[in-house]
Amino acid sequence: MTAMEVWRGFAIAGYLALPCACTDGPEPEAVDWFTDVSAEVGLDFVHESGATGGLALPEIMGAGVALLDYDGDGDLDLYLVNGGLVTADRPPPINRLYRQEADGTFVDVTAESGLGDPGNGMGVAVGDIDNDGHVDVYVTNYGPDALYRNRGDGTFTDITLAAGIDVPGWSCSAAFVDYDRDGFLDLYVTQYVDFDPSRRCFSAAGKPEFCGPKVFAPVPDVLLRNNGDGTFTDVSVATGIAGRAAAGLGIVCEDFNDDGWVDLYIANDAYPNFLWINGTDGGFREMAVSLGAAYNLHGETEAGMGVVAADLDNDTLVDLFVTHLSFETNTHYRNLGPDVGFADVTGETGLAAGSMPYTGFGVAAFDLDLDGDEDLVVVNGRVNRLQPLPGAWVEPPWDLLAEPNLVYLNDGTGSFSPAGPGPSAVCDPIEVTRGLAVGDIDSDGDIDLLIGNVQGPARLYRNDTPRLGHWLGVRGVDPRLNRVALGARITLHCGDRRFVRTSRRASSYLSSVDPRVHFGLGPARRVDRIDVRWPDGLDETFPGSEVDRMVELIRGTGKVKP
Amino acid sequence: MTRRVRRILAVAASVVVVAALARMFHRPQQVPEIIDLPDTTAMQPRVAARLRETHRLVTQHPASAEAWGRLGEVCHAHQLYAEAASCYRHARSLAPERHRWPYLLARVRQKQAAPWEEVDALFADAAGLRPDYAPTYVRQGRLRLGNGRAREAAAAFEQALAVEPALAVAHRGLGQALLAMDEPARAVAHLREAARFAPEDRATWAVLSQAYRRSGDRDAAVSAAERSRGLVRTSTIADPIGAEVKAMGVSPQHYADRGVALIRAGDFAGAIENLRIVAETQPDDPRVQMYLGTSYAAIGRPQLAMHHLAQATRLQEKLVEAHVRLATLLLERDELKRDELNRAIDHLARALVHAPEDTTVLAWLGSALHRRGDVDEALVIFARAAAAAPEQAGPRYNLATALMNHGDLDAAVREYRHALRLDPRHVDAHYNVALALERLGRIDEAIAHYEQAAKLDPTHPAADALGTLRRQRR
Repeated sequence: MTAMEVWRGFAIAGYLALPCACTDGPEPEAVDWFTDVSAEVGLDFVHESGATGGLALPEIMGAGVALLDYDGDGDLDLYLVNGGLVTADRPPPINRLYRQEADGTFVDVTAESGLGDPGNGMGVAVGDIDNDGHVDVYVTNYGPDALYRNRGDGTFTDITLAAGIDVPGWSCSAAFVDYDRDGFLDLYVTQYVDFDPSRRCFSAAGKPEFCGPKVFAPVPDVLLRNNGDGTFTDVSVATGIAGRAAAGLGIVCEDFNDDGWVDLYIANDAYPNFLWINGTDGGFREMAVSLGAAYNLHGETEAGMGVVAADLDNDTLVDLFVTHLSFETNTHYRNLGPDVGFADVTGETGLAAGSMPYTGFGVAAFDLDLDGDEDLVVVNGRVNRLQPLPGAWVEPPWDLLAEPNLVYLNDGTGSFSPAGPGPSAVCDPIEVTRGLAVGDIDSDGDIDLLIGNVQGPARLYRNDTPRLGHWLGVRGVDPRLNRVALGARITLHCGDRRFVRTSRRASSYLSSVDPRVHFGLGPARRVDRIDVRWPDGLDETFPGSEVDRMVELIRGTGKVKP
Repeated sequence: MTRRVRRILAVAASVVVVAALARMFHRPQQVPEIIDLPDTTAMQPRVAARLRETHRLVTQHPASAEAWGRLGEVCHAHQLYAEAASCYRHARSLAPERHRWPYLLARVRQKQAAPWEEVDALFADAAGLRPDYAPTYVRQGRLRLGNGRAREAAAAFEQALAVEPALAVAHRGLGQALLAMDEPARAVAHLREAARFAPEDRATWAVLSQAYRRSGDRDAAVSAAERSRGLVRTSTIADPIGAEVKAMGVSPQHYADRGVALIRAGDFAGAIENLRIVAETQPDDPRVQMYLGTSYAAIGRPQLAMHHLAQATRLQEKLVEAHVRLATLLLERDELKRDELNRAIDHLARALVHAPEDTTVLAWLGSALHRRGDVDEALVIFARAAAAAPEQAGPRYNLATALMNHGDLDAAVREYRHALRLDPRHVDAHYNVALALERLGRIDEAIAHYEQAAKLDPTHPAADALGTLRRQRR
C-alpha cells in the first residue's frame, strides 16, 4: 500500500484541473485570446449583493448585464444590474449605464439617464416597445420590475405604472418578443420562486446553506402583450403561460418548429424546462416533454440557469444549450428537425465531463476565432458553499462560491473541446459569475464579452483571438417598425455552406446581447446570397456581399446596405 | 571458535536469513495513517457527533476495512466526498476482495467529477467482485450514456437485465441508450417494458414520448408526454448499499427525507419519530409541521395533527396542502360544531387565495359551504371547479348534486349528463340523474339510468330503486 493521503490535501486534489489549463485544446498561442479592458476603458462597476450573512437566495442570483445602443450612435453601451436588499441604514445600490465614447472608453451616465433603478436587481431586457427607433429597458427585480422608456435624448422615464405593468414577484430573465406578429414587442418575464426570507436551510453536513428552489413554491411566468399604445396587458392566463408553474431562470426565443411563428424556451431550475410552441392563434402549447427538451438524457430534471439557441453543428437547425448546477452537465439539446424535436447529445459532443464540477449561469455561442462554427463560453459560480478553489479572486466568504469560467471550441462538426490556455483571461478569474452578454463592442468584427459578477466587478473582455477566417455582421431592419427585426432568421449561402443565425437580444442568463447577427465564415471570401425570414414569416432574398464588414438588410428593399 | 559457538552462529544466521526471506515474501499489511477529523465548525451537533464517533473507531482499529468504510459512509452520507473517497480507498486496500468499497468509491468519485473512465473502471472492478449486484451495471450504464458511450452503456444495462430481468430502471436505461444509438423502435420496446414494471415512473414516460416521436408516432408521443406530466416522481435505482449509506446520515435533512419516505411507505409512526428530530432543530419549518400533522392524523391523533397543521399554516400562509388537510380533519369530525365548520371554511378560503384553480380545494370548500347552508355560495364554488377542470367528471357531478339539493332538477339533470359524457362509468351520476328524472316524472329515462348504474355495480342501491320503479309501473 502506498503512503496514505491526508484529508486536507486530498480535498483540493478532488477537483478537476482548471479548464483553461487543460491540454486538450490547440497549442498555446503567443497571444492571449481575450484582454480584460475594464479598467482601461473606464468600466468601474462593482456589483453589491446586499448580503447580510443570512444566506438569502436573492443575494447570489443576480448580476445581469446588457449591451445596447441606447443613444443610437452605432456603438454598444453597457447596462449593469445591481443587487442589494434594501436596508434602512443606507440607500440601495442602483443599476448603472455606461455610454461608449468615440474612443472606445465608457462614461457612467446613470445619473443623467434616469436608468439607475434602485430595485433589488436581477436582470434586464432591451427592446423598442413603441417603435420610435430608441431602445427601451425593462429591469427585472426581486420585488417590482420596472419599465423605462427611452425618450431619444439620452434620458429614460419610468413608465411602469403608466404602461400597466405590475410584476411584483421575483423576476429573472426577460425577453421582448413579438409573439402575435402585430409589430409590437411583447414581453415575457420568467418568475423564479415564491421566496420566503424566513426559511433557513442546511447542507447535508448540517451547516447553514442557501436554500434551493424546491424549498419554495414555484410560480408561473408572466406574458405581457404590447397594446401598441404604450401599455401592456397581462395575457398569461389567456395564452396558457399561467397554466404551468416552475422556477424559471433563462429564456430564449426562436422558431423551433420552423412554422414561421416564434416559440419560447424556458430554462427552469429543478423543474422540467418549458418549450412553449406558438399556437399561431394567440396561445401557446407547452411541448418540451414530447419534443425532448424538458429533461436530460436520463429523463431527469436539471437545474436550468442560462440558455442559448444556436446552430452548434452546422446543420442549419437551431440547437439549445442549457447551463446547470455542478454534478449535472450543461446540456446540449441537438435539434433533430421540426417534427422530431431534440435529443440530449452532451456526452457525445464532448460537453459533459468538463462542466460537471461547475455551476453554469451565463452562456454564449459565437464564432470566437472566425473559423466558421459556433464556439461556447459558459460563466460559472456556485450556489452552495463548498471548499474554496485554490486561487480564488474573491474574499471570504464569497470564495466558497467562486469558480472559473469555461470556453469550448467547436471542431466544425458540433464536437467541442476545452479551448486550452488561449482564453485564460476569461477562464482564470475564479469569481461568482452570473451574467454574460456578447457583442462586437469595439466594432472590429469579432465578438467581445461583458460579464457580471455577484459581489464583484463587471468585466469587459476584448476579443484578440487570432483570426482563422472572415466574418460578416448583419443588421436586419424593418423600416415599417423603425427598429432591428428581432427574431429575423438570417441564412448566408457561401458556396456549399449555409450559415443560419437569428437576431435576438434575450439570451444567456439575466442578460441582453447585441442583436446584430455575427457570422464567422472561415475561409469563405464572399457571401453568395442572403435569405431572411422576417419575424412575421415573410421570406426575402438579398444578393451576396463582400466579407469582413457590417451590412444592413432593410426589409422590402432586397438590397444589402453597407 | 568452538563447534558449539559455530552451531549457534549458524542457527542465528539461518534465523536472520529466514526472517529476511519472510520479510521479502510476506510484507506485513500496512496500517493507514490516522487522518484528521473533518472540520465540524457550524455543523449540526448530531452530525459532528456521528463523525467523531466513527473517526474514533478508525483510530482504535486502523487496520480495519470496516472501520474505514464506516467512516467513509458517514462522510459520504453528509456529502463530504473528498474525505469519503479517501476512506473508501483505505477500506479497499485493506479488503480488496469486497465489492462494496470500489462500488462506493466509484459513486463518490462521480460526485467529485472524476474522469468518467476512472469511475467506469471502478464500477467494472466492483462488478467483477460481485457480478450479481445489478445496481453496479445500472450506474455504469448511466455513466457511459452520459458520456456519449451509448453502445457500451447498452451492454451494461443488458448485464443488469441478465441479473434482474424485471428491473425497470435497466429497461429504461437500455431504451435511452438505444434511442441515443438512433434505434427508436427497439428503444420503444424496452421503454414499454420499463413502463410495465414501473408504470408511475415519470422519466420512463418522458423518454418513451421522445422514442415514439422519433418512430414517427406523434399521437403516442403526445399521449406519453401527457402521462409523464401527470406523474411526480422518477424511479431511482433500488440500491441496498446506497440505502445503507443514506441511513448513516443524521443531519436534519436526512431525518426529513426519511420522514417523507416513511409517509410514502405508510409507516406514519416511523415518520413521526424522524420528523420530531427535525422539528427539534427546525421548529419553524412549515413543511415539517405539515408532515407531522399528516402523520398524526394517519395514526388517529387528530388533536395533535391539527396542532401541527395549524402551526404549518401559521408559518407559511401559502401552504395550501396544510390548509386543506386541516380543514378536512375538521370536516371529518363526528359531531362537527358550528365554529369548527367555520374554521374549516376559513382555511379552505385561505387555500383558495393561493390556488384559485385547485379542484380539490374548490370541491371541499363547496361541500363545506353547502353543509353550512350557504347553498348559493356553494353553487358558485362548484361551478368554478367544473370550469377549472372541464375534462373531469367529479366537479361536474358535485355541481349537479348541489343543484339537485337546491331543487333545480332540470339544471341538475343537465350537469349530471355532462358528467356522464366525461365519465360514462360514473355509477353515482347515473343513480342521481335517475332520481332527478324520476322526480321530474321522466320515468323511462330514469329507468334507463338506474339500469346503467345497476349494470355497472349490481350492489348499488340503484338496483333496488329500479325494481321498485318497475313494480310501480306494473
